[in-house]
Amino acid sequence: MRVIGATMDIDTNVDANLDLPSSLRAGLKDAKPVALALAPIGLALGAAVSTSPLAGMSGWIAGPLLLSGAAHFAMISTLVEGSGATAALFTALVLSSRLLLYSAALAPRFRAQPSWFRWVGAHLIIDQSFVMVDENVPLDETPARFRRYWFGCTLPLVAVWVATITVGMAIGPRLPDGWRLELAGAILVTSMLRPAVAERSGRLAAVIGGAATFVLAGLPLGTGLLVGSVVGITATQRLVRPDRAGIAS
Amino acid sequence: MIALVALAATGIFALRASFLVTADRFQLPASWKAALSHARPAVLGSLLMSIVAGGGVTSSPDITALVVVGVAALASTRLDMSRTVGVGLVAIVVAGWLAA
Repeated sequence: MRVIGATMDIDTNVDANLDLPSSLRAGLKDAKPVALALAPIGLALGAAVSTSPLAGMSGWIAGPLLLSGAAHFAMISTLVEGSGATAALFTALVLSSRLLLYSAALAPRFRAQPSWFRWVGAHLIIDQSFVMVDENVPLDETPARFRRYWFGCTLPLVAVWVATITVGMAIGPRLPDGWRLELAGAILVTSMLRPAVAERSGRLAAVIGGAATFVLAGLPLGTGLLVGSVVGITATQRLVRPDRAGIAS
Repeated sequence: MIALVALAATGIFALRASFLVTADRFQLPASWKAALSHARPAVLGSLLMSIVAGGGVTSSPDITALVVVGVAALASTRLDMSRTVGVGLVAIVVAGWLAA
């Protein structure tokens, strides 16, 4: 775990001229590589939107409203397959059900936060923000510093996400067919996984969760992802003696 | 279609906010908190496998995804996240060029 802001005083790569609190700068710094990987996914999503039944304003506004590439892609594919709006909605919700896990895991960090932030901050829960906070922010961080880090690591990602979806919608048909830009998601997950598996319990959870998801990949509506994750969490909890004080250790 | 997007956004927001808006009044049991400490690696492992599984055991794995993930995994052992992402993006472009 890294205490947010603790590395900032010695990190000369950070723009020290910006008069920003260290926790906000730490969030911005952590968001940089994530934004780099999100950009091609946004381009690919924008390209897919431009030729789908969601083309136009509805497809574009879904970017900032859903803030979920997986759900957005799933809605598009379901509509393209002709399965109808109800199926598209159900698929998006089921595929996003892992957000329940993130919400539960992040709840202790939001307990001391003001009401407005618990509502506004909730919208910014994505895979990447959950991982960054879980990895970098101690549980006993002050509410104000947590808020600054949260906005610092999420708002740039939202900006990049919306901008690249917009560009993708504009240039979509001209993107080369062979470029599997959506695979940037796999790169992002791989690079985020490495610190998460530094401990034995992390390795167990990742292997069990991944194996369960592989076996359950045939389940409808992408439910294998949620069930596999829950299997990984519960099995690891049974196999590993609880020796960690907090959820962010 | 706007109505569909609005419904989906509302539903997804409800998933995100479910435990947060009541976080000041409701606390998860200690056993849940301990279990959720494994959420990050478990979900990341599941996400990665769902990407490369290519539909699961009944169909072929996505070979391009496997190659890209392999390159990124190798890079991540020696490089920081920014450089790992850069190497991975180059791998995607090269894989696309080879496939074309």
